[in-house]
Amino acid sequence: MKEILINLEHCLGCKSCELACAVEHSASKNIFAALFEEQLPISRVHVEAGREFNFPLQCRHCADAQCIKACISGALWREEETGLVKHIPEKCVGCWMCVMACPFGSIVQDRKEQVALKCDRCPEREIPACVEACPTKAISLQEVPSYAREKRQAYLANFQEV
Amino acid sequence: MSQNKHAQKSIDPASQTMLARAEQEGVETAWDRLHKQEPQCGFGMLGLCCRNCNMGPCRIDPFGDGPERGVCGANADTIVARNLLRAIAAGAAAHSDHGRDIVEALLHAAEGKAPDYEIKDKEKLAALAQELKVPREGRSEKEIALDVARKALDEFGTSKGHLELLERAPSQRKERWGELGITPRGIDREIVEIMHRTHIGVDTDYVNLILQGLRAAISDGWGGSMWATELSDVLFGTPEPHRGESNLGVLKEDEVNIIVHGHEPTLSEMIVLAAKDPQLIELARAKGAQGINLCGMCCTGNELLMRHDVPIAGNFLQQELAIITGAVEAMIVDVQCIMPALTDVAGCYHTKIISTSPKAKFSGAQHVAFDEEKALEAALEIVRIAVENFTYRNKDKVFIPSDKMEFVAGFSTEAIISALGGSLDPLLDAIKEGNIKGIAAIVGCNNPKIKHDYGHVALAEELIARDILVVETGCAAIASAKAGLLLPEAAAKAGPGLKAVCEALQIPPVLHMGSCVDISRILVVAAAVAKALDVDISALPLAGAAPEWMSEKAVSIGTYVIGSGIFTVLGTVPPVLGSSNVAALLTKGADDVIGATFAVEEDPLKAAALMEEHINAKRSGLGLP
Amino acid sequence: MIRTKYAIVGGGPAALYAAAAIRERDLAGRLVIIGAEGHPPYFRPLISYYLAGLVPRENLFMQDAEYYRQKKIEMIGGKVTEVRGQEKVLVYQPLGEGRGDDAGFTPDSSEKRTAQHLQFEKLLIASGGTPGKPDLPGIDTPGVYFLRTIEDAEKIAARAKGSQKALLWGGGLVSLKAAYALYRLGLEITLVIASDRILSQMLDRKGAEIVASYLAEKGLKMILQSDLQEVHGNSRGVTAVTLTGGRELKTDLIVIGKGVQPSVSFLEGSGIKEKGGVEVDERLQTNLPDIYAAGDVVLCRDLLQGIPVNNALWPNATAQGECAGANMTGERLTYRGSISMNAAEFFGLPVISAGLGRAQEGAGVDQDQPRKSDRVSSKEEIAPAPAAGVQPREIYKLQKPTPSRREPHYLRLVFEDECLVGYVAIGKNRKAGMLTNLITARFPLAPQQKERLISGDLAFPFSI
Repeated sequence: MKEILINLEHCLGCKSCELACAVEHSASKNIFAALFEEQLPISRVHVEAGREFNFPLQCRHCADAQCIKACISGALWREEETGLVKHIPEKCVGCWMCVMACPFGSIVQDRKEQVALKCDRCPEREIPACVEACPTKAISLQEVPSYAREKRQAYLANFQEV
Repeated sequence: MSQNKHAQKSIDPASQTMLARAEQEGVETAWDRLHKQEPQCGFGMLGLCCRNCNMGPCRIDPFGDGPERGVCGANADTIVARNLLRAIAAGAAAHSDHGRDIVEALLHAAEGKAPDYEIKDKEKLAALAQELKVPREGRSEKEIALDVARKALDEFGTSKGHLELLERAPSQRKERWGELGITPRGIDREIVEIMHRTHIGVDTDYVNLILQGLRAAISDGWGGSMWATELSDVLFGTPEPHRGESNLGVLKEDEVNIIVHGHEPTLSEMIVLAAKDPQLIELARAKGAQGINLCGMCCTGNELLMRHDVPIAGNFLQQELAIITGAVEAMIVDVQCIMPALTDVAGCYHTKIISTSPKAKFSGAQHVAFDEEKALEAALEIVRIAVENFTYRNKDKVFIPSDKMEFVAGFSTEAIISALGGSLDPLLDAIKEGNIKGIAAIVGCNNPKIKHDYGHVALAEELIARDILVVETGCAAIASAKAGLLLPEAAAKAGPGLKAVCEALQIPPVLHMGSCVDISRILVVAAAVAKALDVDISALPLAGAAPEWMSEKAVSIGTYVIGSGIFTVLGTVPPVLGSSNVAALLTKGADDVIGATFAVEEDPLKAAALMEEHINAKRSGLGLP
Repeated sequence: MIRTKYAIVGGGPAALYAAAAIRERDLAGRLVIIGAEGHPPYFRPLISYYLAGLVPRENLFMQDAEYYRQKKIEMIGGKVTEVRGQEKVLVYQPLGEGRGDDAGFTPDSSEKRTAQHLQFEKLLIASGGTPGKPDLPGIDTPGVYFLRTIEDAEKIAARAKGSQKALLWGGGLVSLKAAYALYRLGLEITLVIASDRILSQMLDRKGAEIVASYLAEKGLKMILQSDLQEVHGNSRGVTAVTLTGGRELKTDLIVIGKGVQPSVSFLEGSGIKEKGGVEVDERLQTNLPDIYAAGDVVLCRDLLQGIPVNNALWPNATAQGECAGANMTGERLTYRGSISMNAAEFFGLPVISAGLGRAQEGAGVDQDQPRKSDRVSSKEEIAPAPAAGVQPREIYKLQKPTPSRREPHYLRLVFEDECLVGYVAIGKNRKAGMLTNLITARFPLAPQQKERLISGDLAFPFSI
């Protein structure tokens, strides 16, 4: 299974991933045209400013996804084939239960449409827009062997339960 | 298949061939590097990144989710406008510094310090002297030239508050500049003022900033650039129409190939002489070559082909491809548009990159200081290096595409008037009658973001088919040369009206007016037409286009062209869309202010339609059919 | 008598998550869900949106018929009346005809409306909660509703059509969601709230004030510290109410939102221990082996208070259902416990609260000291702690000044020493979940991390 991995040391905080993500989720998929769209596109990845590191954070598609369990409308679900946590905006009512539940703070609020938004791993692309946009390759899409995947999930669990 | 892939990069067959060759040889080109840069930084593309102080760098979120102001409080409007101004300053500086070098060459020639330079166009010197009110009675040519050069040199830093050559503009235009407070002063001052006003905590009003951008650009177009053209003509001769050959096929398998690349004719003119040196030709023969084949590239190439029988090997995006032929002994460069990648590419072949300007050194290049006092000597030394390098040419690596194309070039303002029979009237009449609907200037660079030459050639073809006379400079003109549009025979591609005019006058439907600084020639023609009709330039059926622009010089050019009242279509998006206010000012609001706007249109066919629409509107404004 | 390996009483999210967890591990064993509402599991929190016409009926259901067929999950419409814990038998009353036509739900048609018996090997009690109905003169007048079920929503919607005024009795989450739905339907809304503030179970005083003034701007009337004394009506139903103190209010319909209690009455005599909610161990098993409980019906360990509490919330129900279901198949998962938390948007204003976010402030220190930033932050001392468990010791409040027409922004952070133990977030706050996680993880913050939090910098993660 392929996962988006982050190399903290490489992130310069340029926010290219944020722009690329927003553009990918615009109607035109073109940065210049997107500026003139009625609804400005919203990025689902955010560059977090740390003290020593900056790093991009997007949905980790958790194995035990708190957001799915918190969703009161069926908008969030897991796609079995890909293992990805998916979101159906049409079903979302904007109650923000998922925002309350996501331990990474990676669910984005579209306040105009009153729906949650999240990383969809760019279904129309082979390589997600944030990965492609990263000039330092701090964000990469890599095949993760299952044992490494488990290790990673265990690492992530550090942030969830101590 | 790989040929097809390269057809996406360039319409030029020679370039397609060489791109395939580059791939085969594993040599990286600008197209590869663009691919590696993609996707490019969105903040940069929108002009929303500010690095003007060290509280930053700051950037504004164009989608409104993140910061709306930089640390100092500058918003998108201020940041975009400041960035635009700094690009104008850089572009205007490049042209004008080139201009100053030419002025100094004349000065030194007149002072006797540059003995290898002589005054070729005495008539033009006399005309300029008159324009500058330099007394001529009883004075020697050198004395006059000295005064002209000194006066010209003063113009760069003049304290008198206006520029001499601005007098060439129609009064309506000058009045408008005056009303807006943008009558340009010396270019040095305007550039300094831009750098000052874009410093942290100075000018934040985007309208006020852009007005200064216009002023500096106009000072470039009607000052620095124009001096470069005028005095190059004086020193090296005013171009006259003649035939030549273009594209990589001009390189010769059995001769020492030397390419002069860059911008300033002071160097290349001497290389022309040196390449004809019998001793060096003899040396070439001794090395096994049949002779010395001097070719131009980019605007140095344009300067040469306008005045000499020197073929041009290609435009900006072909500089690396020329070296990949394996047949170039030396590429001699001076300033501007010389890719830093050249030395890397040359490293794969025997080609020597020889830099000459103290202003532009390239790591990995051999530097031969070009000194005006010993200009020819330096030129001979450079050509000798090239000839001697023939020994190291690897014949197995030589791969020269066969493509080349004839052209007619050399249409200086004077040459156009002469082709018209001594006055502008036949042209004015053709425009009034509607045989020629208007005139379009296609200028600017190559940019791998646009299919190489397609932006230029498709637009030129589309415009002439619509009976619009096209004038060109710079890399645009080279594209047309390679496509055969600079031949009188190309009139067959023109609409019936333009075709008839071209055939009657024996001129091509696309006129090559020179290098990129020579856009000043276009301003002079436009001003002359406006004066003849007693209207402002903005009332004329004129339009400009820079379909493949990339350089800061192009930003300055575009700005002085609209500042002079000519609607201009850009083929690549300038980094201003991050501010809807700045974008609206440049594409709409500027019409009320300066009488012209920018438009952005990547598709040359749509760009042609926009330009025709504009020309037709201006025609009706003048009451023309 | 039906014999089944797995029986689940109740047809809510805990039931479905349990069934899914069972099926992940055991596809063969018979699995029966007995639901009293006659619908397959649905998104109960959506019914106010359904009432408002914002969500179509088909979107209410958590899974479609195909899912239940594929997973071999049988559903029976029935009201369980008795559980014989030792015998592993339960008794239910089928709902009969006319119900259970929703996707995936099989109405029990073969049997008449006589009590049925069901023998199980493993049982999950997921019977949910029942809204409390105060005893009041006129309370049974037509036009007085709860908003708990699909049927409730449909009845309210029908009556709302000819109505102008609606009265919401209670100031909690359900009341406010119902208020929003009825407001969307064009009714004039009045809330009658016994407490001195709205959302008293979710928000601190300051937070409640911010939300209340926002709601007042939207045109909601709120009558605080008041209660219903009597409901008046005529042949067409409710017409008015009398409040404590004698004030009379006209209204066309009433929605009662006075809280929900675990549905445990049917467990009398079952041998299953309950104290107003079913008690469970860390594996969510009741005192009887093979009988588990999950969802709104349980009392389970509150991560902060350290004692069993009824945190009847959707995310807790789903997580408990999943854990209990797995354990019913023989797995040994532990459920760490839950915290109180909730999120909602009230008339366009997002409000999230978790843990001890509403912890009481000490007397006399409720003063905001403005800082030099655009935020106002103040520290409060805490009133002496009530019981065992976490002791909230410090409260920080961050409030951005609210320019007119802008939504308010408020963040209240409650600490026990180096641990965040609660928060209230009003307005846009993407990082709320990270705060939730700090609470449930009992994450010990380094001093500089805590300082960052207090300054409103919610960068993730704090470990860096």
